[in-house]
Amino acid sequence: MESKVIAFTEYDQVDISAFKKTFCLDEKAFKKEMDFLKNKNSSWEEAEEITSGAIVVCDMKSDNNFFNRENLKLMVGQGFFNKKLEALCVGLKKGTTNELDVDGNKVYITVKSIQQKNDPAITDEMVKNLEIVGVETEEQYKNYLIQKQKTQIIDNEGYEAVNYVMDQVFKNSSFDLKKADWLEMINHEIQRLQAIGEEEGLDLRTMTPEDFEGKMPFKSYHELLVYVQNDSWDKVLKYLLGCIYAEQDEVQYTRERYEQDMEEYMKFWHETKERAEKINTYAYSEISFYINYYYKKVRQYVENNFFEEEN
Amino acid sequence: MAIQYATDDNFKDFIKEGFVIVDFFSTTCVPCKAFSRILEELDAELPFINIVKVNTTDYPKLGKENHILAVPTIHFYKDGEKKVENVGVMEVDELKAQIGKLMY
Repeated sequence: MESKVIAFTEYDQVDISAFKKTFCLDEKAFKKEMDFLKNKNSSWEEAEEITSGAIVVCDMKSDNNFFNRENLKLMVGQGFFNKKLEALCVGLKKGTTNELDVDGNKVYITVKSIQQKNDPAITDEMVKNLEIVGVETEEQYKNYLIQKQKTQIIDNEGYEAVNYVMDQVFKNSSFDLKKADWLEMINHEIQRLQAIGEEEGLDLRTMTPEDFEGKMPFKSYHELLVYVQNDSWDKVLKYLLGCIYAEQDEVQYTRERYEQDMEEYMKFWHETKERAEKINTYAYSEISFYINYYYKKVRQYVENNFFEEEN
Repeated sequence: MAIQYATDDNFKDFIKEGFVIVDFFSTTCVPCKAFSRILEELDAELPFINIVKVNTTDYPKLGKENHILAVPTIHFYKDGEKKVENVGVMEVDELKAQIGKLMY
């Protein structure tokens, strides 16, 4: 591309205090994750007396056929079998036969075996077995879960802040922009969409509102083209800035990276190599890489500064 | 019981007795990954529930035989008979509700 950046504002100089949020831990979701780790590592031990949560194997006899069972396995307290009966089972002993009154039904229950869950304390070993990169201790796992919640909030609510940062950078920077680059950006996008449509025998230029339905949020090729044209100036700016940051970080798009991208694309979309490369030409992929590079920088900045400092 | 993976050869053996939840999934389907995690949670909490997973990418014949048109699709079997079918991700509480209705 011939366009150039003359002077630019760093994204991390944009004040995003108006977007900052106070982070509140979702205790329920946090506990659910910790319980999952415990449950994964729990063991079951033979017990003599039924407690809530125990897995019991029993025989039952009753005039009510529903309660006539042999070798019935049930988890006491879940209510999958019968809530009332399960509640009455608590305290019964292994090897005994007991008469229970379940809503007027006499049920004779013989407890054959009882298994009680042994909930372990969380250890670093359990955390290591989760194979999360950089997470090896219980403390690190807790921090990881907190960070995951924060990332989820930013995914849902950080979009506005990311766009604001980019808008401010564009407004306060100077570019020497060539119309040919804008046209190139438009052509890449249209050619890509055209190649995707070909699979279904569609030609972008002649697509009807019905053809667009469920595929793209437009009613005509004209609407689509206007959107792509509007978006392409910003894309040129993001691309130019992405190139600068990538160079600073000594990162560049290479043939090897392109091959990897195509492998992933083929696997994800079940496409042939030929189709994958037609949809994502090298030139398009290279441009997208630098656009995303810039986006990721801004997103990281927002992520690091999205929440009010905790006291 | 741990979560088991079915093949063309053992699928019928897995579902022929008792209550079984079958998850038909594909390798690259993102919602399937989320549902897979939900099944792991269920298995960790209720280890006596039989869960069988069928990878329709690796075993397309099983997908076809079971009329799977989208993934994830969840089938609930009781003694080899399909009782309920659900297309799309189910939460742990929804799975538990089906267990309560169908297991006994």
